[in-house]
Amino acid sequence: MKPATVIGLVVALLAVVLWGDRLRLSTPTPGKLRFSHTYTTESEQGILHEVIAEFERAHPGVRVEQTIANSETYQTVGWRLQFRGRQQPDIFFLWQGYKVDYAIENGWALDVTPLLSSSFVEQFVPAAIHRQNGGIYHLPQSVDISNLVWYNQAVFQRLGLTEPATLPEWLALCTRLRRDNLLPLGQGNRDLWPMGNFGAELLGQALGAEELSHLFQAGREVTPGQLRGLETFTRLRDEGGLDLPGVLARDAIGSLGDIDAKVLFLSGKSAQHVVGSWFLADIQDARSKGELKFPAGFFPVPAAPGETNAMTAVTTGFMVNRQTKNPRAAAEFLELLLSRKYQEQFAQLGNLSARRDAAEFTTDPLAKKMLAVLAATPVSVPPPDTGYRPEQAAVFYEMVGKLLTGKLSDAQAAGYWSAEKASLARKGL
Amino acid sequence: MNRRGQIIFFVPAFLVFLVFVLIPATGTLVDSFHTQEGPHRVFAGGLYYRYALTDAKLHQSLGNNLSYLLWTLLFEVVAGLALAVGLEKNSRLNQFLRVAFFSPSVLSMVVVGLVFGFMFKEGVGIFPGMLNESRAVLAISVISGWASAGFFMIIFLAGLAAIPEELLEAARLDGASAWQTFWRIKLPLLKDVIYVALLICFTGAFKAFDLFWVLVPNQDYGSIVSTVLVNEVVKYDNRGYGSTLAVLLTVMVLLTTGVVMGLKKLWLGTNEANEK
Repeated sequence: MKPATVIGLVVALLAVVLWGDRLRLSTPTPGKLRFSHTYTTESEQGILHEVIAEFERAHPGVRVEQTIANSETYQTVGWRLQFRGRQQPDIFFLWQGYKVDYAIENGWALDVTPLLSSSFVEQFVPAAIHRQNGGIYHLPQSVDISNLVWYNQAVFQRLGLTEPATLPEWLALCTRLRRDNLLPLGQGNRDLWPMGNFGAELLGQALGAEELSHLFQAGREVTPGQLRGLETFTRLRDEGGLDLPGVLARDAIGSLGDIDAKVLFLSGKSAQHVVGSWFLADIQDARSKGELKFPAGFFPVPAAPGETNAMTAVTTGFMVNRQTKNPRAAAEFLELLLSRKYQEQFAQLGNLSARRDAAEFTTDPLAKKMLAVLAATPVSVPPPDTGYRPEQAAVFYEMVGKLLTGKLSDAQAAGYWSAEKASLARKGL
Repeated sequence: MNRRGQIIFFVPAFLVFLVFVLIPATGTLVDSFHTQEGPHRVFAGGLYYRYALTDAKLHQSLGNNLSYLLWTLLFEVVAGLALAVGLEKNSRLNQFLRVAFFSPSVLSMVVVGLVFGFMFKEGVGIFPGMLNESRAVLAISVISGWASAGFFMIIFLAGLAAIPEELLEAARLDGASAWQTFWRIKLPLLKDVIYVALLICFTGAFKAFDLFWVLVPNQDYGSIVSTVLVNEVVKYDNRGYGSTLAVLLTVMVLLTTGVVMGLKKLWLGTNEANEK
């Protein structure tokens, strides 16, 4: 074989390997709806299959193709990378906040207002519908509460404890639990977001939503007074609220994962655990397998007297790709998915629907209580990792992590955060 | 081989190198001078290089890399050499032990990390607290040593096997002890192998990623340059700074290789001078 032939063959082979996919039909494809999301469990998939079957029966020319992603991968990188390839989704899942803004700014999102039926938007609680650039880009599926204090009702009953109404009451309750040789709060902060989100709520209660959002703005200096809400962490740490000899070492919080901490609570080793509303699914799962030996309850993180009763929550939902060839079909699919019929089924799995009529079809007593708590909450603040630029959220999370492990004192925390923000500013952020 | 034959052998390898190394590497270099403003890429000059000079987190990560390098030198290279010398004789027990010590090096580092992560876990692990701040880098170096010392042992065993038997025989006849034989004969004759081992260990310390990523994600006390780089690109979508770190990492690996090569020349030069 001649060298020129060999070279030609090698080049052709490389071209096919590297760019062969471009020979495929361009996408998004008419007649197909690509739907990317993070609903991975069997029960969630069961509902989605039903939605898709009903939609395809009503739209004979359109087929729905799911792209199911692992939640953590999707949250960190998948949500962005799916727009770099040629297999872009027509409909995609996203958390309201920074990511939605980013999607709109980058031209990935379509204003669905003209495509929706007249009364559709009115079916949702107003707080869940955000109008951006004069349009609606994100349709809400659920509301996730980021911090709830889950507790072992059997322990509370045995000790004659009741759900605290204020922050000092709760701190006193933690001290009491420790005195009775119980681990008051089992938390794992290896990945920084668990206590970071908790910290954001404490700050939200002390400062209110607006001042809290200012703290995450680029270049803004932070004063020690603004971080007074985080003194709760120092108290919890110093009074043994986060450790118990023989169960959890004092400096373990930084190396313990969130799942390990969850297991500590479910196995009865910690009396309380602070995590989001999604923990209800774990409780139901453990209960159905007979692994949960006690009844569990929850209460919202209580505010100190005189502070705002703020709650950290984020709306999840769906967006339509601006490049889609099927905008109307995409909107109709979302209307079906978010209809009462299917939201009712999601509610059985512990999902907190953003529909106005959610209270009517939510049957689980804990889920019902969550809806009531949400309705009674005057101020909602976003969890930093979905509400703000990831780098700004990350320096806050790091600061909280250092506070909890004693590497920063309350007095040093503001200086550390300001210095980190100044460092980000030098990088152009 | 004629010119045509040389081209046939050269071109496919060069094309693969061009497509998978040269073009992406050039792209990374170009990216390191750009920043992203919304959907637009904007020229940023040396912004990220200047930032890297003052980035405390990067400096801490670099310190962790150096600390890891020193520990792995002990737990991988020195331990590998000790194992090789200890298991040099061809007995059945030694053969079994060689296989036993080498076997961890065929495992994926991610798997090794997950297993040790479980052993070090608070509450359930048999060595809880090993990944706390004061011990994390040392603990990871020990794990790395456990996984890689067997690999270095094999390299040194190959080197030891290449030492002429008559030299060792002559040393024995001259009454040299095992210790003297090791220091005066085996070690000097292993210098080429030691050079290769050092090169692998030094460059490996800068390329390290998996154990740190699996065992201490998100903690600055356990961050190294490669984890900072991946976080910048993947988590923060900051391709500009991530590319800058990639360029700097490449420069550091090249410099380290240069230093090891310089040391080798120095050592060989000294030996040759002594021989003269």
